[in-house]
Amino acid sequence: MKRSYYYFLGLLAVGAILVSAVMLNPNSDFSGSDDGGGDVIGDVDPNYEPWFDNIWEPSGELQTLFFSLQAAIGALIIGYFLGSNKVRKERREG
Amino acid sequence: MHIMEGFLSWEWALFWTLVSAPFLIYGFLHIRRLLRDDPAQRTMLALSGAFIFVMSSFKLPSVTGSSSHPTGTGFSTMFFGVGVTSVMSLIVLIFQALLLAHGGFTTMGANVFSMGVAGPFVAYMVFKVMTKARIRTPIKVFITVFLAGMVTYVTTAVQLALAYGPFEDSLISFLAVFAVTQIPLGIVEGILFTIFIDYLERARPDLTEKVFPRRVKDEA
Repeated sequence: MKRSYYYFLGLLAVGAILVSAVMLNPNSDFSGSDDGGGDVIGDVDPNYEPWFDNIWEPSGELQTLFFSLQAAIGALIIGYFLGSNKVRKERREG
Repeated sequence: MHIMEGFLSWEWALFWTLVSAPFLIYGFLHIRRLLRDDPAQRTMLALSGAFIFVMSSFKLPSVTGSSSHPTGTGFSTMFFGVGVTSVMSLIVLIFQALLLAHGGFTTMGANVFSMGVAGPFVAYMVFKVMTKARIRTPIKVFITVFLAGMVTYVTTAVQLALAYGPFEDSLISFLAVFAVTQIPLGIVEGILFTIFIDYLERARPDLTEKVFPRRVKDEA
């Protein structure tokens, strides 16, 4: 069987997992498991007070910006690598 | 897997920092040696870091109704081992603690340990055993990547259960939050890296053959 067929199946599975996550929980706001950990601490030890706060907490909008920035930095490097591979291949065949 | 700022007592914060420190020092020296002796490895180091940046920024919904993010450490683990991966994780964790208020500096040691040491360590050991046993590459990659992320989240649960006893009861509560959410995301991450390694093996065998030796059959 062709390789691209396996790739397609793999990506289909990735899509299916993510879509089913949304479908199974239509009303969820998908709060992070990191915050969930904090909630459990509240249950286990209601008296606990964090003894140190984040030095600086960005607003929601800024936070989204920095998350995108993080993804963009990584994606840029991977994209550069994939592009340079393509050029390399074309030169060799060229 | 991020333990929030201020949520570990200073004793535990110090403990995890001391446990992670040797891996970080070894990792720094390893990276310096790689850059000096083998400039070709620069590409792979850059890719390792890039994947951790991208994957750990993807807050994905999981089937359980909460969301979480993969760690992306599997790639770095397979090619460079635990030390280098711990340094890469430190860089991302500093970025997130400083700019995103995600994780924190008092919990940095604990977070480096779960993401950069424990997960990669278990994954690397299993990777080596699978290589000895001649397990096929796609299966090997999938399991390694899945474990690197999964063990990281289990470790976070253990760290929190140790800090907030009674150990057994709270471990179950923390595992329910961290591990269960992570299983579908681990599968997603595993599939993506399996495809990428397969691409890389054919497009740039010069970069992968140290870790994934070419089969004789392919060269004929």
